[in-house]
Amino acid sequence: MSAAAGADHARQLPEGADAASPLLEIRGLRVSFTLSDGRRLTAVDGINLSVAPGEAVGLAGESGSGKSTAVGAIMGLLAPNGRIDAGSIRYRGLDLAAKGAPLRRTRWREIAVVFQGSLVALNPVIKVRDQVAEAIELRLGEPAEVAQEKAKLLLHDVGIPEKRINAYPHQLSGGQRQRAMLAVALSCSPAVLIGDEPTTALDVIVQAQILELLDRMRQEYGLGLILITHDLAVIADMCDRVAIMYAGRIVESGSVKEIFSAPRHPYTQALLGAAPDARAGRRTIKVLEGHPPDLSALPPGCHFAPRCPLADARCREEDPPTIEYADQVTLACHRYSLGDGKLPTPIDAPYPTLELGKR
Amino acid sequence: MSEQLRANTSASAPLLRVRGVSVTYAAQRSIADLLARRSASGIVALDSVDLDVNAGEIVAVVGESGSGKTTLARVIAGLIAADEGVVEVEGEGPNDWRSVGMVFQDPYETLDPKRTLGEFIAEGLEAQGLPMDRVDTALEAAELLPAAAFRDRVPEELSGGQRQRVVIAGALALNPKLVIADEPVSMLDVSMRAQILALIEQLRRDQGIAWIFITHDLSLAWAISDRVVVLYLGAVVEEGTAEQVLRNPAHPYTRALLAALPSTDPGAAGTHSLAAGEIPQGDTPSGCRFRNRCAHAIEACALTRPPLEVAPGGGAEHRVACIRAAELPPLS
Ligand SMILES: Nc1ncnc2c1ncn2[C@@H]1O[C@H](COP(=O)(O)OP(=O)(O)OP(=O)(O)O)[C@@H](O)[C@H]1O
Ligand SMILES: Nc1ncnc2c1ncn2[C@@H]1O[C@H](COP(=O)(O)OP(=O)(O)OP(=O)(O)O)[C@@H](O)[C@H]1O
Ligand code: SF4
Ligand code: SF4
Ligand SMILES: [Mg+2]
Ligand SMILES: [Mg+2]
Repeated sequence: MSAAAGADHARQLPEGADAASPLLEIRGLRVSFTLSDGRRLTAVDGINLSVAPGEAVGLAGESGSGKSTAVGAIMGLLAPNGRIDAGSIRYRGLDLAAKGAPLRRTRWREIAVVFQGSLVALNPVIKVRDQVAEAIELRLGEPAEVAQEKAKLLLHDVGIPEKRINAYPHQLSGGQRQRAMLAVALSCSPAVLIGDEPTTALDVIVQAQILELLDRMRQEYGLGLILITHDLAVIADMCDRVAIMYAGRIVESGSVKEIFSAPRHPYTQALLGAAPDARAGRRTIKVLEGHPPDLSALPPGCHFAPRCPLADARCREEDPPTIEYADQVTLACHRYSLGDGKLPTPIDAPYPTLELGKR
Repeated sequence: MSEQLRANTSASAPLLRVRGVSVTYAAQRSIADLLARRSASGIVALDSVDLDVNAGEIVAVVGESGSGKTTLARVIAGLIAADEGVVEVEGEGPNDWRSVGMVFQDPYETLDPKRTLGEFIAEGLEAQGLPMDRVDTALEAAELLPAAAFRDRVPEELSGGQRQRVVIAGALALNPKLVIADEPVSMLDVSMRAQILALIEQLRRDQGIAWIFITHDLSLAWAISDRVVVLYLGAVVEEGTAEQVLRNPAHPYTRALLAALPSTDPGAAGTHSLAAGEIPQGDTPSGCRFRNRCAHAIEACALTRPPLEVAPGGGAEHRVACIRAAELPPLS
């Protein structure tokens, strides 16, 4: 482990936090945006999510399901028309959602984010080493020479060849830029790292390299990792636990092992079945018709009902409650809500299938 | 492809015939070069590529970022000229716009937000001097039904999947025999991807349209294509049927691409990066292009460019450019 990053210095917790409390724990978080016509749209609707040191948690769902909004709330980076309506975001006990929570800048010392578009996130006219050093100077208050030295070590750590560390962002490949972003994110030795689609723009080989790097950082530095992606295969590969989001809610969550081998929520089944898989030799895919609902005009009942093959009259009237079952599995689906609290047997939702490559 | 189609096409000349196509991007000193006090050198994006596509066939072109996929697409569509080599569609040069359509990755870039879908499609028709009544037929072929309900909409009112269908409709309006789709679904959610994949297959089946499907996602290539062509640093390093190339890969690079693919299958092993480092930018190694990243490289690999040859134990269509293909360990 290098001296540049990680939990190698005694972590100074922000005021009001205590080391004995869980690392990051989100409870009942609700976030809404005001639209130009004055209506409000609830983009995150009462989610629970937590991550422990050294743990990797995946957050998946279609475009618009509220994943980035949740990140915005955690980081204090919501758009001006957005606000937290309810819930708590506790970092070591300290509520970041409460009024008077630590400012954005200090938050980066504890929680860092790597976004998808690394080219926009990096300053094009500053060499990558100087950018990392600047972050260290600014956020940790280190003197310039120390910051430069740490930056060099960090860039080495994330796998940027030494002769490239004085390059400008656009002189680097997409993979190298994403590594540089990771160095910036790690520069303040955060305890939690959030990757919001960190590999979506990359090709498979570079993606595998970046994921390997994230995994190594998680292990070496004991980082709590939240990985946001619409690619469930990436989560299968990287994460211990997974939460599936639909229209602002977490509709199913639990261990990756449990959820991926026995998906219960019809939406999870659709997402898992919708992609072909060359390694498994699978060409038949499930077809999920329609699209996610308009969040500013939600119909009553289960938000997934218009697309769900299992929907019945009750689904169209009553919102299914989120129920916690054994093994920390949570589910929000009427089909499972009558049981005795034991982990229910999955019901196969009869999606139409499409056999691709039929010749 | 049906047996009938296969029998019809294999005997006759291919729909698309690409021979020895090379493209070098002109030396142009960028700001980056100036800052780095670097003199610019030409980038060889394609190096003597051969490719055949038969009528009604779906060929996937796969490879990492920078391997030359988009350059190949642009040459075939006639958007850029090859420095060397021949591109023929039905025996003619690629200026016959009507027989080759093109669908790009980002529907947001292709579509003008201020114009209606009907106007977008009509624009292409007008440029080709084709009758305007094809607008509705094209929307219908792309399953934007009923066409009348879509004609006057603007892109903002559509989902990402629907937008990509509009782009496909624009290509279909010109009645193409071949459509080149460059990463057509990479920006879409899985649910929308399925719709587009189904549409591509349907258009092949019903209208006999051939597709070149460019992707770096081997699972998509596996699902949709009859044949797969693997590009690396501007050259074909392996080709064959989807089964041959993706179930029985013979080139270390193809194997690396497959090993890097994550899978939700509980039985699948985790991913590994079998290829070291990244695709070189600008300078191609002597001998085998892949040798500086290849786990199987030996000294002989630096001496000559391995030619594309019939893969060991494979059918005649399965070809690979690796001198050690016969010695590679079997895939676990
Ligand atoms: N500033 C804003 N004003 C109004 N609506 C917003 C704003 N930001 C996001 N939204 C809406 O909130 C919902 C959730 O968006 P969010 O970006 O969190 O989704 P996501 O799951 O990250 O999607 P993606 O996979 O596309 O990144 C969407 O319906 C989006 O249109
Ligand atoms: N207009 C251009 N000028 C100079 N070099 C270019 C140009 N377009 C592409 N190149 C270079 O040519 C090579 C091949 O690029 P190309 O875009 O064809 O690759 P690709 O396989 O489509 O990659 P991606 O998956 O990133 O789209 C790369 O090294 C690229 O940097
Ligand atoms: S509650 Fe009903 S509509 Fe919603 S996911 Fe369950 S079965 Fe489907
Ligand atoms: S020829 Fe040599 S370097 Fe090239 S792929 Fe084969 S073993 Fe690797
Ligand atoms: Mg997002
Ligand atoms: Mg490209």
